Amino acid sequence: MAKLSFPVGPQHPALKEPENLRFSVDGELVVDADIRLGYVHRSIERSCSERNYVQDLYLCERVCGICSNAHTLAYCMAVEKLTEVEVPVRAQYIRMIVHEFERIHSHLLWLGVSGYEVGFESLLMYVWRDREIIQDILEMVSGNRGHYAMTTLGGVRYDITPEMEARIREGLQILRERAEYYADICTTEATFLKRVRDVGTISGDRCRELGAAGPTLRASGISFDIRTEFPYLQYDQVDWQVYTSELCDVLGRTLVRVQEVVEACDISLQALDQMPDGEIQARFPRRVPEGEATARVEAQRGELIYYVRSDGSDVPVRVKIRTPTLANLPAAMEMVTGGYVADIPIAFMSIDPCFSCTDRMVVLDDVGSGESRTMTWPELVRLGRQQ
Amino acid sequence: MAVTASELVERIQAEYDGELTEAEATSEVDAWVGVPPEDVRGMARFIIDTWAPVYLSTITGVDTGRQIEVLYHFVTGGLALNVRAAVDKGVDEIDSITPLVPAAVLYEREVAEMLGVEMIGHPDPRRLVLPEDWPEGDYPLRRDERPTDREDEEDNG
Repeated sequence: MAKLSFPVGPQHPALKEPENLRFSVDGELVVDADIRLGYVHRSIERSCSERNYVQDLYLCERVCGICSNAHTLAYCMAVEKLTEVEVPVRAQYIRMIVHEFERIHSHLLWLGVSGYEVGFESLLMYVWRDREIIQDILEMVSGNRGHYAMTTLGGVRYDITPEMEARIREGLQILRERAEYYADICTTEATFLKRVRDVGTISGDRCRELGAAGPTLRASGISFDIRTEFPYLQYDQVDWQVYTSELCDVLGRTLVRVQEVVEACDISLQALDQMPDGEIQARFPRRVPEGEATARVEAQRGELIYYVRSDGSDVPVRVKIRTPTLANLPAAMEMVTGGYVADIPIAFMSIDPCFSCTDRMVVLDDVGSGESRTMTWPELVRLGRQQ
Repeated sequence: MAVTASELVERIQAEYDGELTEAEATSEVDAWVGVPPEDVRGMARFIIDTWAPVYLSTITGVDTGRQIEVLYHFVTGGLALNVRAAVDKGVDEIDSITPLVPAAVLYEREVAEMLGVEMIGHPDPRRLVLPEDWPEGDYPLRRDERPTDREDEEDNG
């Protein structure tokens, strides 16, 4: 059979950003995959070095809509390292709670969408219904469902009141039970298992070599989590563990994420118990002393690193951001390679790139005959479900 | 396995046989070492051989005026090991570490196109982020005057 090479995107692929993927297929098997980025390049790093530290806070919040809190957290931690400002302990607990809330909402969003990708739509409906609980909590705490704007230089913007605390506890109890139920569904539901078991496999050693991060790495049996590697906030004060899976496939990544929802509920509940009274924001200088610092946080998709350099003024010389999706892309390319065309959506989804809901187009270009035919994203998804 | 960043730095000073332009622990977990740009691959080899498995978080490029600093952010055993290599403007090239550290593949492409530092020996030196028709020799993260700046003024004026 003639070998085909087809582009996916830029206006399409399974990512929050439009990106151009190129797959070479031999029949139904993917033999090569390549990626071209930059279609939504917004010059954020450059813009950061043209605005002051407070303005950059708002800019960094908007790098990503799903992990906005992780970005401001990493940015603030880097700048706080330079200024040597001590963040009040209560603020650190609140930061940690919101950080875990974000993980819960993001992992549930992912679980629903991956259910949709394999044609398990009732999973999407149930999971997203439950996700509303955490969205309501986030809205109650911060006033926003998306960009929470909770983290600020030197602390957090809003406090968690005793009334909120009661509602948070109630919500987290329900979410914890539901997450355990989904863990059970994901390991016992035969239709789901058929679509995720041994799909998109990658070994732990290969993941490490390619620099994969977060649940992608942990689902291949490697216990690497920034929360234990570089304990920040108050993660060393709560009792929790890093969950790994030896399955190395999409099922493994699903189980790791569902388990992390359970862990996130436990971490948040413990944090609510331990949280001392006190200030939630420290005074922050306008000018930042000369120097450079890196800050790492475990965002829901993996390690997020910020590098900030200051020349002593109120505008940084350089802000460098490395998002976990970039770290996971080389691994994602390998996951797709060697699999079936119909497994592309779920295998690609398993690193949790952001999936926007718009209709997308795939062009299948027949190199041999010179003919090309087009395939919309829903068609590709449908093909995925027929598998 | 080193326990603190200062022990990590001491071990590099004792065992690494190349030139070090700096070696300092800035906190308990942050270690910074500097090497001449031609030694960067040797340093990467040393780090891999000494502390494997090593995780490369990312590579940062910074324009400091006369030089472009290329910073390699490694993680090993709960410590951040940052390697600095300053490339003079006009030289604009450094050895690629991708053959030793496959994780560097996308990060090096990003530094190459955003700051104009050619990665010698990179297996796949295409553009990553910038469009295909972006002018040659215009590097968005360099801080000196860019060839397109003047054109923009004329267009506006």
